[in-house]
Amino acid sequence: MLLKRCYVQGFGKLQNFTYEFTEGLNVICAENGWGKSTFAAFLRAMFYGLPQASSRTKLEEAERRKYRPWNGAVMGGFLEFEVNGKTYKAERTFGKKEAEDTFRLTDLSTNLESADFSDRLGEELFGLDKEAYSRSTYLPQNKISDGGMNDSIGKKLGKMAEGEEESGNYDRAFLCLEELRKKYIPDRQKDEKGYVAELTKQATLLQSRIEACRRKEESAKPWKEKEQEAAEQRKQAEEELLVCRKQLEAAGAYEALAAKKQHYTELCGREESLRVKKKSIEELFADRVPALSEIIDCRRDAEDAVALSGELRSYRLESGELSELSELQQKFFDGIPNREEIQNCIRNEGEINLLLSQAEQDFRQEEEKGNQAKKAKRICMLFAAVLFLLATVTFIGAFAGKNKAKTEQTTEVRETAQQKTSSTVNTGLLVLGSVFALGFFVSGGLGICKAKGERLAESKIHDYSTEIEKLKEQGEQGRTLLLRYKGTETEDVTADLYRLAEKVQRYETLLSRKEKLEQCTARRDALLAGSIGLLTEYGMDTGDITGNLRILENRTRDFLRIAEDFEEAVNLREQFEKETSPESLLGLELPEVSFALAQERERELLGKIARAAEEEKDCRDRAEAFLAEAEACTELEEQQEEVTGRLEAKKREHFYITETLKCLKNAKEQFSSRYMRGLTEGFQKYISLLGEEDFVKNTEGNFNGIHADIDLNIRVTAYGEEKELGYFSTGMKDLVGLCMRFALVDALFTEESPVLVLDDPFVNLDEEKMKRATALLRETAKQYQVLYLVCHESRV
Amino acid sequence: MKLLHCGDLHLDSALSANLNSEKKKQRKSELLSTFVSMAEYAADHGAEAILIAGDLFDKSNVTKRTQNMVKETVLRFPFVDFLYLKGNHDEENFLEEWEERPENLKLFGTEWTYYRYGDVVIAGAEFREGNGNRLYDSLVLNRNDCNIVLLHGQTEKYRSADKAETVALGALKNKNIDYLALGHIHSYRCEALDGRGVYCYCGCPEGRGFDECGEKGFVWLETEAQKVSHSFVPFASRSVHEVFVDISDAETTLSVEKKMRDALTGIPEKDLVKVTLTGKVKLSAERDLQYLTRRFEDSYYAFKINDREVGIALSPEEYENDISLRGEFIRLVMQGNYTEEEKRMLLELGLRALAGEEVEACF
Repeated sequence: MLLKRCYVQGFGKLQNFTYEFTEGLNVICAENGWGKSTFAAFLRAMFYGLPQASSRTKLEEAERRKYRPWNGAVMGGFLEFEVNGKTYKAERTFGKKEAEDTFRLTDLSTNLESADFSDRLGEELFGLDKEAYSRSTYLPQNKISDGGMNDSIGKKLGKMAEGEEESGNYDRAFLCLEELRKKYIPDRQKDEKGYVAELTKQATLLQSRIEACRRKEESAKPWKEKEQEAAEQRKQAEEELLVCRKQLEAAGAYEALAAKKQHYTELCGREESLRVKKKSIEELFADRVPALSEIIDCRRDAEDAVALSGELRSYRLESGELSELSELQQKFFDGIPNREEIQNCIRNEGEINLLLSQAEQDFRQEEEKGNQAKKAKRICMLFAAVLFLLATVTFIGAFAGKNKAKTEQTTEVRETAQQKTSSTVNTGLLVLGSVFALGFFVSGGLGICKAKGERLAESKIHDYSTEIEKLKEQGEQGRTLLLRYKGTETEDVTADLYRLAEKVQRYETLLSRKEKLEQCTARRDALLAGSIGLLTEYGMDTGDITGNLRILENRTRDFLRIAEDFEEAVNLREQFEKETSPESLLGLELPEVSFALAQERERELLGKIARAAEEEKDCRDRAEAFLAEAEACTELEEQQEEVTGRLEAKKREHFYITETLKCLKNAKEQFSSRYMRGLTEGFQKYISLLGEEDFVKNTEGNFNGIHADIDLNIRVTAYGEEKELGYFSTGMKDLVGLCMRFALVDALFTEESPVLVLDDPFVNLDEEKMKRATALLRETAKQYQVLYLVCHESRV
Repeated sequence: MKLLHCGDLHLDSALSANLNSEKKKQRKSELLSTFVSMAEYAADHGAEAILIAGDLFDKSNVTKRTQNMVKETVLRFPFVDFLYLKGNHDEENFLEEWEERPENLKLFGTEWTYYRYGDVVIAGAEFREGNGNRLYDSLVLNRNDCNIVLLHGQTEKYRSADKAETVALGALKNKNIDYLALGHIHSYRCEALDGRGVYCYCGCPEGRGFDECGEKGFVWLETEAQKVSHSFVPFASRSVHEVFVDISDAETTLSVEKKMRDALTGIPEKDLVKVTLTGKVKLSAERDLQYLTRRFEDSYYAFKINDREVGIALSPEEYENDISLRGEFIRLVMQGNYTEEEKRMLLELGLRALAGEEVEACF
């Protein structure tokens, strides 16, 4: 492509500016602020337009705002260029918004609007987007080696596309994705970590639990089969039970009828039996059946009569008693002596006897006392006389001894001791004589007292003798009475009186008993008259009236009971006949199976059914227990489905990540392989063109030159050692950067050659390097149209 | 005569649809409740029979609660016959083993079983062990009767010896069938069988997951003068919705939320909702699915967002001349043998990574 001419109607500070391009190198040397960078931006805008930018975009990036003419003129212009043998004129105006932009392409050979290219002119011409274009063909001041040549060419290319601040994005992106991938499936899978492994583990665990659940379900099957078998057995037994119950029913009906028949027979038999009994008893009663009350009354009278027999026995007189009564009747024929009189006589007799015996006893006592007093008087007198004599003698002895002593005292003083002893004996005799004198007085007193007692007793004996005579006269009344009733039997009147009194009492007793016996006999006969009559009526012996009356009573009671039973039996029979026709009880047939056998069979079958039901329930419970556990299967399946879904999602995500990594890696490789070969070759070419000695292989072998490795790292081999470009000067770096940039243009613009815009890039070069740079520029201008913008003549 | 044609209740089945444990239990109860309610509906509207076209249960191990509920429901309506044909999910189950099975529970076998109600004949047979071919030949129906045939399986045009549970429509044509009551497909569908009759899938009465969206219920049949009229009765206690929301021009989470809210207008809160995002979005577009889920999940019984259908709005012009690693990456992905979803995910991941953004947020 070749630029022909351009016209800037308004773009930044450039107004109505026209520039005619020549082939090869175009140099614009102008002072700072002329608008060189603006011109470069205008050319770029002609190819690629201006991007829409918001008000928040920085001014440096917002070209539409940055280059809007300050005077408010129309922003735009045109550019004439030649491509593929045709000359076009591309006109653009820029509004405030992208939508207000205009674009027109005119084929200058026809002056007609051309549709060969659209408003995406730059992309269609160069096959590069705006960013790639500007970063490859525009070399700004001090930015040739921007970012330093230490970076790899690949990074430069990345940077070219992504922007400076995003340098190294590939590595970071790859690392970031790689780390994310490892979260899904780590490289060391033995750890069983990562989303996929964890979910797989969960899914496996759930699967095993589901299988366990299903096994439970399977485990339930044999129990269900057993349950069915048991149910079959139960059903079969139930069917048999139905048959059995029918048999039981038939046997039961037979048994019931037979029982009824038996009952009916019994009723009839009982009735007949009672009828016979009743009849036989009825015959005993002849015309009438006595009333029980009548019998009972009679029996009570008879019992009363029996009770009287004791009394009768007590009154009955024995033969001895009868003769005794007869004797007594004769004895007392004239009357019975008054009991009181007898008693008085007895009492008087007793009292007299008592007084008499008392008087006699007193008489004897007084007589005895008199005798004793007489004897005592005599003894006392005798004793007193003796004592008198003794006392007299003693006193004499004592007085004699005293006089003798008084004589000897005067004469025989030397015999004092003997004199003393003689005095003591005299004193003793005096005392003894005193005692005898005292005894004499006492005995004399006692003798006088006893003489008085003797006289008193003689007086009393006289009194008692008088009284005894008086009492003996009074005892003659009893004897008189005894003589009247011939009762004198002994000398003892009192005893005879007592005997008379006993006979009187005996006579009265016997007489009373005889009268009571007669009365009692009459009463007994009256009581027995009814009973005897009744017994006689029924031809019964009247000997044992009470016993026979009891028999009669029992018989009557039997009759009444039997009559009642008979009546009841008749009623029962009639009632039965009302309820059950006797005809229906005829012709009973025996059942196939007896009731007992059927009952036994029923019991067996019920047992069998119960056992089968129990087994059935047991099996069902077991099966249901398994099935209940198996019910968790659904929930586990749901969980498994969820986990599987998550696992699939994670696997899918892992797939996306790995594919993204793969694509990124492939993109990098392709990107490298597509551009790097041409780039490295071009780089070597431009390095050669530069003619820099430092980069040319030294014949002595000290330098191996400069080259880019497979990763497009630029390295300089010097003195057998590889060095990075950073070791070299800024000017050297700028030259290498220039070579690299030209090589980049070679690599990128394979279809259409672009216009290279150099915005005073050589400010860092010394004179020697400047020469080499301008030489290189001139050489490059042979291939590309170059617009070299410079602000100083020295760098032209 | 009035009849209720239902099927595919799948009682006791595992549930998906992003339900938590408690809601799963509740939903299972609702499935049972719907069965009972259908029986009540049939009884209240004078149906003589309920045709259960298979898959009443989901598996052989039926829970005690479900067993009792089904038994009691059958016993509760002795004047309504329950004609129960086992499907591929119904293995030998407790209804067959039910002692003293009530008279109103009528079963079918692997050969044709016929139940006559006046001039209405209901025939049914269960597909087992490749008996299909034999069954078709042995079906005999009187042309003067009103004939209803009950089967469970996937319709095919022609017989297939290999596949069990295949209802060969061709083999059932011109067999005097007035109404072919089918089960197996979980959505209502009714089409002509031949010149005389129709075949009809009643669908399931309740959607159990987001793969069972749409109106669910049963088919109400009325026969008169050898003609069968049928109508679908929506009966589900909750509907399952899948709502597609095109978010092509929505570049932010809030704009996506607004589009979703607009699309979900009118859907009752009791329902289960799955939003499938569609369209192609710019690479720079962002949407926070966790945020969006949180914004809607309390408004519905169950809520789920699927953005796997979303593609990338990226024209070749935007990346073909991008001479950079990013451009190279985009080109590589876009030219790669990936699905739209894969391309979107790879680009999102790669570009986020290159931009130094949090890549885990992509999931």
